[in-house]
Amino acid sequence: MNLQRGFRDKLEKYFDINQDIDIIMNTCGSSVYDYCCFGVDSSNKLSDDRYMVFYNQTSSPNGEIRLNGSSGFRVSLKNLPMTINKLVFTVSIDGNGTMGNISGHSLKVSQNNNSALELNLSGTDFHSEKAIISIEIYRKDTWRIAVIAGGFNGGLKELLKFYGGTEISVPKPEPVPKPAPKPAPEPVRLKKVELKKGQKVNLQKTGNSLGEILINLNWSQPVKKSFFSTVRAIDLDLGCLYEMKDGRKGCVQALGNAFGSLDRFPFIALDGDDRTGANSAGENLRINGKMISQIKRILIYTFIYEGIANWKQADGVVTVKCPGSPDIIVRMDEYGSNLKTCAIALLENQNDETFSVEKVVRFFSNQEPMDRAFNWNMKWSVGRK
Amino acid sequence: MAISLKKGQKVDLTKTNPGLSKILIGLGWDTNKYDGGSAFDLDAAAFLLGEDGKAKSESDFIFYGNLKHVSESVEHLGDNLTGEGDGDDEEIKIDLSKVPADVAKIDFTVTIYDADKRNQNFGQVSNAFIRIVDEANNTELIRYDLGEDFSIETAVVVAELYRHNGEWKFNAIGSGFSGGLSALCANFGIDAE
Repeated sequence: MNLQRGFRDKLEKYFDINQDIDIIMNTCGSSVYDYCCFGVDSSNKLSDDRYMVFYNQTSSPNGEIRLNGSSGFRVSLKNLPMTINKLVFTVSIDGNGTMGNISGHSLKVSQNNNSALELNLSGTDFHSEKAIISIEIYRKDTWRIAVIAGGFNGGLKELLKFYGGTEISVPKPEPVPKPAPKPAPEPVRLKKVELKKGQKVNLQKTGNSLGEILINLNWSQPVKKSFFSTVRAIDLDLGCLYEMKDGRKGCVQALGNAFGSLDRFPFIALDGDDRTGANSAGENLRINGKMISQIKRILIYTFIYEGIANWKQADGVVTVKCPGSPDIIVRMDEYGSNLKTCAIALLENQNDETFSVEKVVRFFSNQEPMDRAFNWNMKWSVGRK
Repeated sequence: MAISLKKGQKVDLTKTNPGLSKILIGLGWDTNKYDGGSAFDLDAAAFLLGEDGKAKSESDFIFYGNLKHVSESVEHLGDNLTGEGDGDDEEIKIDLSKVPADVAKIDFTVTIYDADKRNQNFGQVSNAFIRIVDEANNTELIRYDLGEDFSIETAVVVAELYRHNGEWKFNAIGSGFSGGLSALCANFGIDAE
């Protein structure tokens, strides 16, 4: 069913509201689009920052709202606390452009891959908004949906202000270590850092240890429809080479089923490789920051597993997220190499306290010459997924 | 303490408030708090109808273009173009003692002006209500909050005052229509363009 602005109805007419529901958004245009879900209280306020799920916080406290990749939310309505009265799904523009410039915005509400409700808007539905509320899912006797499709010229900041959240423009400075029983709730961070090639920054620690570092690869490659399923024309894979302090080396990647482990050696893990979902979240590589003292260095790379090497078209974005640090973003579409493997970023241990992150972006024909170029010197053989 | 009604509920008005004659119908709503898009202009109207549910003539349609009924029983207090602020957005005064005998009911409607052109509907309107106030002592007698039951409609029949055994009763209708004010006029037997 196609939705229009102003549509309101009970969700239970379309879905089993006791099961997970997916809200998948997509926006086409020349800007960078960020997606956020605000879980607000009955006064329409974000009284609990932990229920703002977005690129810097990809899950609510109990996983009731999860962001998969950059634009797909999975919500478990029945597990939400009663204090959360409404879920607001928003799109905001990072940088230049307005919603009036988009070529299209779509939102699908689906369950078990069945999209029962679908919203399709274009730039003519908007003006100079930089952040819009696409839909709201709210409690009123039962869970209901409302199509808002309206927003603010001021972008995500103004949206956050509207919901009473607080934002700081720089990461909070590290307080002088005190025997504090609980870390104070952090203001919501909206900041992102885009690294220039060769530029190096250190990830910041929160509290006494480095948290989990998440490396996300996402790409908005247009999809080709085949008879049986929807598949991407290009399959991009994310992986890394690691070198431990004790000299052990290896790689984590889907190819060869080297998915790694977060709790055990090598303390780096790749989430399952998704080659099918048209709107999937991309791929995630996680590094257990607590085990930094065992890790010497990590080289993050991405490679085109299927399809011709066309990085511009694949429109890939690699984001390094670490609690307490601004996101570090590396965009692949600036590069026109015809080589299939790209070393993205090098993480190096800094005094066992944190990693430095250096943007590399160097292209290789496959993993082996890349391995050589960074002096990993492992043995490589051809593998298949 | 005003009686709060739900959709479809009917209550006595004059029976429970003997001697009641002059009342004020207040209608309110909140719209668009977002940037961009057109401003909302909601209009309240009253239709004086016979037993058959039809108006006898255009003069029985009280709206921004015809503020006062010839009988002086129904008077619209004026158009509010923005719907800003708390409280009533538009008000209609009624003197029940002056309502002509052949008027069996008075329907109150709210419509969105230029809804199609501005791509607007009642799904974008929130906190809509109708209330009846006793003018003599400014006491709210009845209140009906319309709630969430509207979606892409552009006109709503909010409520109805109707005669029943010589008394006036109130019916919380809350039915949405598409087609705006002209569709409502047609429904009530009035030619409008």
